[in-house]
Amino acid sequence: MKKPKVMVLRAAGTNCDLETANAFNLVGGTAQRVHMNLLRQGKAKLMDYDILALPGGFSYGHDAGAGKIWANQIKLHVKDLRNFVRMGRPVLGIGNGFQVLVKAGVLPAPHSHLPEQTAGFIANDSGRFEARWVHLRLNTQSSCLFFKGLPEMIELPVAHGEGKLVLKSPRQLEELKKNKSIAMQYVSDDGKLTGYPHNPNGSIFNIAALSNPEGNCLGMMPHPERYTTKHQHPNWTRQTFVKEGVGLELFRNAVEYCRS
Amino acid sequence: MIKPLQGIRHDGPGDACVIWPHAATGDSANHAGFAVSHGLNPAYGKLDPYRMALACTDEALRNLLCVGADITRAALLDNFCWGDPDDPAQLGALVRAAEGCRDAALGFGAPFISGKDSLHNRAVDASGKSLSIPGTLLISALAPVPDVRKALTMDIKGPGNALYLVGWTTDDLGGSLFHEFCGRCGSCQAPAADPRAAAAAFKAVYGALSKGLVLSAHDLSEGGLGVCAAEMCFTGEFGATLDLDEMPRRSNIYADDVLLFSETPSRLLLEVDCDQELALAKALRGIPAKRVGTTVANPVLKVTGLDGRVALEASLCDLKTAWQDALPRRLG
Repeated sequence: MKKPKVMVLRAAGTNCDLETANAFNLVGGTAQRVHMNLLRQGKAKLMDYDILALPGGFSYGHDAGAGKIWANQIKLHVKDLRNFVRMGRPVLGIGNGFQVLVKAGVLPAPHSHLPEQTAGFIANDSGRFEARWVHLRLNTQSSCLFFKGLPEMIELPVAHGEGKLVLKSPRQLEELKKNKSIAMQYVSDDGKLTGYPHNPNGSIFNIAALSNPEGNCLGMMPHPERYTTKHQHPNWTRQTFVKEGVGLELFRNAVEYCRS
Repeated sequence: MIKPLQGIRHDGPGDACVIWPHAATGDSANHAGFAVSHGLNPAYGKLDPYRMALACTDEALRNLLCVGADITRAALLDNFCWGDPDDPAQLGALVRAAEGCRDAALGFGAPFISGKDSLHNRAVDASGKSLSIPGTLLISALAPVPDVRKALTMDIKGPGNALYLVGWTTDDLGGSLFHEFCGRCGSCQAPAADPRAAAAAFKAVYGALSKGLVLSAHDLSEGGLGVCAAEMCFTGEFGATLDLDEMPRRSNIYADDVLLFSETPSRLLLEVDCDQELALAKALRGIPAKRVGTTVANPVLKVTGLDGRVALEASLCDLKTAWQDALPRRLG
């Protein structure tokens, strides 16, 4: 069977590219780590790939805001990203990758044809870098292709200093709710929408991940590539029932989607 | 793989960290990793810097052992944080600590591969008197973990399991938390570790761990058995009953508080499935190890004293609060 080709795009300061590529390789994809400059120079073509992943890290040292420079580069030089999304190919932004998707105007899905930034990220309410495991509730109404077969509640690690999602207006939040774009929310261990520490950054409506209404483009602050084996969970020595890391399932869904 | 804070709520004091480098290399079939730990106790250094070095090395290696690392292939680092070396007393203490490091390395068969020192840590008070900091030696240790999937954490895993204490207990309250708390610090000495005997015991325990006979392991350090058992219980959120009369001990000790809080080095508390007790006894043949208690579902730590009466009964909630409040209280 054909192995879907995955582009794991990286820029200066990206540091989760290896783990993201490994996750795709583990579930039957062929991941290539491609540097942003290769895309800019035309030496790599986005359309040659089936899946695009924007991994986490500190692209360009977070100068001018987390992911801002990388987002501008993508806006200017990766013109076929919108087509890539429109064609229904899976796009996954993790951590810094999510910030880039938002700042490049890919998420929340824009109304107009111009890539316009309609949301943003600011520093965590706690005022510090939050690196720990959180409970997440997936939107079961969402048509997100990455979530097939996943339970409603999962755990993943977060690691970010600027993860508080802010929206342009309260109306935008209503819209996101209506078109089922809120893919994941931070919750307490019993599934309630509560504040800090369960919501690690103070994100509006506890939003941890956004997708486009079609469900093929997902941006998420938590790191699924850091939960690919059950032994990465902080409590794995107590868990006798877990077979594999739940994070791997997101990558598998993307790969399976391309195969079918 | 194994994180510094462990247990259900990720807030219990783990012994060591286990790192799996192949998470990044992508060689997901290779499960080799390594563990990192440390041993530190400046209170012993005030009494005897030589013994501090032995005890800290012993503790660092025991911490490695508790997560399932192969301590026969351990390596050490010394980190000295010392006062004014122009003061003969300070310089002498430094020499004694260095001699302790040498004897620990030879006794445990573990080389020092690097280290760091910081001298001249002193302040001059208003009358012009030079005050040095307490000479402090931090021993860091690292060792390979052949299969990270077999690594252990220190939290109690379930009710009805046996608790085994490995190592002799003697009257070692010199420099202990118990003395600091009760304000008794007279002419007592810091505990003396015996590296050669300890190395043999650790090797046997590592054999039992690598066979998968042990569910959780924790070292007895500051606060002795009492603090060790409390930490295991509130981290795993299961209670335990302990019988002090069962503790392997050589010298005659007639006081419950000495048994409970003595800080004799080279000791470990192991949680073992009752079905594995025979296999454990076989693996630890010739090593002082005895069943001292049982884990229970009730969230209470209950200790029976030498006279058969209850010497201590505390809820895990209270124990955890006491443990967590200590640091903020110290920092004001």
